[in-house]
Amino acid sequence: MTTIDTLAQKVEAGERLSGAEALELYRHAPLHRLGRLADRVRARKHPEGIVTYIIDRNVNYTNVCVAKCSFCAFYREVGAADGYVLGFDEIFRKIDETIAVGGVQLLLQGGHNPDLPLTWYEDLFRAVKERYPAFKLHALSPPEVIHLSRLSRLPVPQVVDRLVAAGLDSIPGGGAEILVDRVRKLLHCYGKATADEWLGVMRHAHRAGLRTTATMMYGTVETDEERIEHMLRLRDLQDETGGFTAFITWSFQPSHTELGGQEATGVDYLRTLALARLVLDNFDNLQASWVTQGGKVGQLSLAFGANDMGSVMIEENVVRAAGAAYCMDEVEIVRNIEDAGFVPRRRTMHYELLGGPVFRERDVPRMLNLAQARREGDRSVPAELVNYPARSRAGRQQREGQRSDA
Amino acid sequence: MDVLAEIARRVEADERLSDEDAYELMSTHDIVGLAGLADEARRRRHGRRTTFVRVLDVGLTGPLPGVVSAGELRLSGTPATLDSAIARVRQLRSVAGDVPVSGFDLSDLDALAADEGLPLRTLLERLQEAGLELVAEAPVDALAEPRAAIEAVNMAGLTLARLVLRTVPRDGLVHVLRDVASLQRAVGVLRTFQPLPRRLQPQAPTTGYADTRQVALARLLVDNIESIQVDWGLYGPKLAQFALAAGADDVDGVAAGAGPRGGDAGDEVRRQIAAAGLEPHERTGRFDAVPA
Repeated sequence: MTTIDTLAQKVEAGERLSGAEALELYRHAPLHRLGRLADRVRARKHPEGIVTYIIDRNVNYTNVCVAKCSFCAFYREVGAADGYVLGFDEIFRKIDETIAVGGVQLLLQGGHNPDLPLTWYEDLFRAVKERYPAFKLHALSPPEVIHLSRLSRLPVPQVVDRLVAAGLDSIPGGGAEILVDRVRKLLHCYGKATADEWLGVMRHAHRAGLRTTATMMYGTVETDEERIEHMLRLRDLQDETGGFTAFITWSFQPSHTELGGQEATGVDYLRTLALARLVLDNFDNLQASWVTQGGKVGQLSLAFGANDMGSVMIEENVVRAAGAAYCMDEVEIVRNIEDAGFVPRRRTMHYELLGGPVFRERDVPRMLNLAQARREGDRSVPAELVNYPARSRAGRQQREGQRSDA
Repeated sequence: MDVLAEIARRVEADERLSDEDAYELMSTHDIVGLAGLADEARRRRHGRRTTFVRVLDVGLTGPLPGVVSAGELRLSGTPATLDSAIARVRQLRSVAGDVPVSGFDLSDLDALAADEGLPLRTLLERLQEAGLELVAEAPVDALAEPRAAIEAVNMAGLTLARLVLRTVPRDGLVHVLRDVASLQRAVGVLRTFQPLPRRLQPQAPTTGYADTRQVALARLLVDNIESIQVDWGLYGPKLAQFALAAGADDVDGVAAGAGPRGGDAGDEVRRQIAAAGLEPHERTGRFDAVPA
C-alpha cells in the first residue's frame, strides 16, 4: 500500500489531514485520484446532489486605493484622472437592476480610499437598508475594515459594530491572498493587513454574529507549503468560531499587474480546489471560480470538490482588469449545473435555499456581458461626497472645487 | 463493484468495449472517473509523451510570411477555384523552406472537385504537384463518402493531417465514434483524430463535462487511431490542458510565435503540458520530432 493509498483511506474514513499529509497529496496524488477523493467528500457533505449559486452584483464602490498591492490591476492612485467613487444614486440603480434579475445582495468592495470616511459607509448602508430592507449587504473585506479602523482611529471591533448597526449583513473573504506574512510582504499587501490581522477581523466578525466567507488567491510567490499553511490557518479559525460559510480559491490573474508573470494552469486550479476540499474538513461549501477559470473548468470544479457555482455576476471589475473575461448568466450557470448531473438551487450568502432558477419562474433579461462599475471616460464626482471630509490633498482640493461649483 | 470499475477492468485488460459499456460511459456523471479511464488507455500507448505542433496559419489571400519558423505552414480558407488554390500553394511552397505545407478542409475540396468537373483524386494530385504535402483536415461528419475521399488523399500522394468532427454529433457520439473506428479499419491511414467540434456555437457553448466526455470516449472507443488531438487555439489552454488528462496526447493549433497573451506560444504549451504531469515533445506536421 502506498502513502497515497494510506492517506486516501484516512480521507475516506473522515479523519483529519495534517499539513505534511496534505502536501504529500497535493504533490504526489494523481489528478484523477485527488479529484475523486474530493468528490467523495463533497458527496458526503451534500448527499442531496444540490449545487447552489447566488444572484448578486459585485460592485466596486471606488478604485482609488493606497494599498498598492503588486498583484492588482484594478486600483488607481489618489488623484488619478480615472479614479472614481460611485454615488449613492449609481449604487441604488445597480441594486434596482440586480433585483430585476432576481438578485438578493450586493457584494460591495473597493479600494482603500483615504477620502471616504467611516460615516460615508454608514450613510450608504443605512440608505440602502431604508430603500431595500430585505436586500443584503455582503460588504467590506477585512483589509477594508482595517483601513477604516486606521482612518477613523477606532478599534476594529468598534468599526465592525458600527457597520453592522448601519446595515452590514456579512463580510466577504477578500484580501486574504495567502495568509503567510512572508508572502504578504513580497506582494506588498502586508501593510494593508497581516495574516493575523485578517484573521482577527474575521474572528471578531464571527463573534459579533456575522457569517463570512474565506478566500485564497494562489499562484504568485507562495510555496506549496504556504498554500497549505493558508488552508490550515482558516481551518483553525473555523474550529474556533464556525463562522465561515464558504471557501473560494482562484489563481492570480497577472495581466496589467505590477507583479506580472504567468497564470497558474487549470489543472493546478483543480488540484488546489480538490486539496482544499480535503483539508478544509470543517467548511461546508466550496465555490467554483468560473470567473477566473472559465465556464468549462468552472463546471469541472463540481467534480473536484466544489458544491457551489458562486455568483451569477451581473458586474465584475477587479479580475477583469487583470485579464479574466469569462461570463455566465443564470441560464448558463443552471445549464452547466444540470449537465454535470446536479440540481441547481438559488441561495443566500448564508446558504439558505431560495428555490429553483428565476428564469424558469418569470422572464428575466439575459445578460451575457458583465457590467462595469462605470462607463469608460465617466469622470463625474458624486454630489454627496462634498458632505464628507477628505484626508488626501487631492481629495480636499476636489471637495473644495465641488463647494465652489455649488 | 461499480459499473465504471468493471469497465476499467476491461480497459486494463485491453478488451474492446461493448456498446453497452460505451452507453454507460456516455451517461455517467463521474467525469473524473471517465477521464481517468481514458488517461490509463492513453498512458499505456504513449506514456507521458505529449506531442504538439506549432502552426503558422496563412489565408488564401494577403501577404506571405517571411522566414517561416513553424512545424506546419497551414493554408486556411475555402478556395473559389482550383487555379487560385494551386497558385496560393505554390506561393506558400516558395517561402516554406523545409516546413511542410498543409491546407484545406477535405469536404471543401470535394465540393470544389465537383464544381470543376474533376475527380477528387485528380484535384488532389494537382495540389500535390503544386507543393501541398498534407490535407489539413477531413470532417468525417461533412463528407458524403469519407472512405473514398480519404483514399483519394492517399492515392494522390498526400497525407491527411487529422480527422475531425465539424459539429457536435447529432446521431449520438457513440455511433459516430464507432463509425470513425470502422473508417480507420477500412483506410488504415488516419494518424490523428480530433473529437471536439471544429465549429463553436458561442450562444450555446459545449460544457466542460461534454468536452471531457467526448475526448475520453474517443480515446476509449477509437482505439485504432494513434493520437487523440485537441486544438489549443480553438479550445483554450485550460480546457485543452484538462483534455490531456482525459485521453488526448497531441496538441494542434499552437501558434507559431506569440500566443494570445504574449510570450512564445510554444514555451507556454510546454509549461502547460508539464504542469499536467506530462512530457512535452514538439513535432512537425510530418509527425517528425523537433529536436529540443
